[in-house]
Amino acid sequence: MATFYKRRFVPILFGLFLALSLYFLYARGKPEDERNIIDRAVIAVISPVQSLVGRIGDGLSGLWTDYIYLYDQKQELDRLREENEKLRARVLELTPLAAARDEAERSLQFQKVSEPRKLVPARVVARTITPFFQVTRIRVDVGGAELRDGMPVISPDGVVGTVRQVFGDYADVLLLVDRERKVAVVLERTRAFGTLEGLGKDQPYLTRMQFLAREDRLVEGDLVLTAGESIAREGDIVTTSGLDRVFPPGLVIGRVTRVSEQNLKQRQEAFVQPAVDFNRLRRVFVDVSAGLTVPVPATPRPK
Amino acid sequence: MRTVLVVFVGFLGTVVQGTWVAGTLPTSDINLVVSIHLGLTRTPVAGSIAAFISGLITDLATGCPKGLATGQSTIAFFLSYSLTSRFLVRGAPIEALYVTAVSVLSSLYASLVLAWLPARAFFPPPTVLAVVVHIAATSLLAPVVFAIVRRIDQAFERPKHRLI
Repeated sequence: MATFYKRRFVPILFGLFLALSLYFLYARGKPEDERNIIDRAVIAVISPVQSLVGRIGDGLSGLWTDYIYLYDQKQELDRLREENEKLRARVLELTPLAAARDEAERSLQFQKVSEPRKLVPARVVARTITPFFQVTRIRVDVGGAELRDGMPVISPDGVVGTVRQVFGDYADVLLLVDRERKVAVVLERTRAFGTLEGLGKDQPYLTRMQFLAREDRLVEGDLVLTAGESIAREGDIVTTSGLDRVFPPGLVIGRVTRVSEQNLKQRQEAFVQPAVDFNRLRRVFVDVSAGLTVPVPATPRPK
Repeated sequence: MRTVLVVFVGFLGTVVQGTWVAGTLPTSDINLVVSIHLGLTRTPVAGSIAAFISGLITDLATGCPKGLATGQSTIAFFLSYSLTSRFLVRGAPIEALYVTAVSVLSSLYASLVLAWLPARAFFPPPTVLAVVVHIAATSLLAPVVFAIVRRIDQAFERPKHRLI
């Protein structure tokens, strides 16, 4: 018996570790997938190292670009970039106000949601490096700001995702394109409301928007379209509607790349390419004022 | 101590790639190379635990679904351990070839898992070109990683015989 176990020891060990790794994968998406205490401890240890390596990288590249390669021009460019970033962040802060002004029901539904937001800048310190898994979660260093799960994360280009889990100064971000994420959106041109979800096939980061077909919209009476006209067109800009109470209204999501012709009578589908390039994200903003507002009351049902 | 340092080097390489290289250049799987080295040099218990932990740290550090790199390192370790008595892995070309073979098998495993858990575990499936480039980058970098971890092993090697 002892000889049997001695001979089979390595295969048993192999099977045990492989089964454990497969269990980790299988549990993904289930409630028990939430980071346990060991994961949190490991992340707490490795995140500062990641941050340090990132800073060293920034420092080394800064040494080259600031002191060796076109010193004056680089400084000027950095100043302009910083100014541009601030201005774009300001535009982001003001966009909901402009969007809300155009809404017919803004005084009722978006009164609290569209208040100017408080944005905290954060650095991206971790990204995945395997081709078997595209970036759908990133880790950000927020430098001491108090974060909570579910806070919106945005960049000057558009919506990035939401805070998934917080580990001290660090947080995992569930990206907009993740299958687990659904966002209430609106087509800017036709004001058609719908839901956006991650697609997970065909092209990296492609998302799908579902919205009511024109018959339903005509019943509501807020959209007049001629026969044969589709609600969505290629190139249409998709923004957040704010109805999910997660993202404030008016934030850019992306552009429609294709409109599906299926199920025209009930619901329509459009494929949306996010405006944010997730692979090249360096800095993002966390909307720390989200969730602090009073919940929007439900619209009363007409008698 | 040696094993911990070797795993740390793998982690550091992964972090450097994740922060500096990812998004601009093709990335390689240093964790896989470290696991292969552990398979070639360590005992089954110590090596497999180290490879498993190395994979787990890689998953947690890069935001991958927990279990992906862990499974790949486990497979790489046991493949290398099983073949260590049949092959002598010395010299850059042989090391690169060996890592290529193990990377292909490891990628095959990842693809099978991807097919098994399509809806929940992954997003989205990789292109063949991306996988080939990743394997090529891993193989090209492997001799350098092997050289570094061998240096660590030599520096912290325990003396086999007492002098007195």
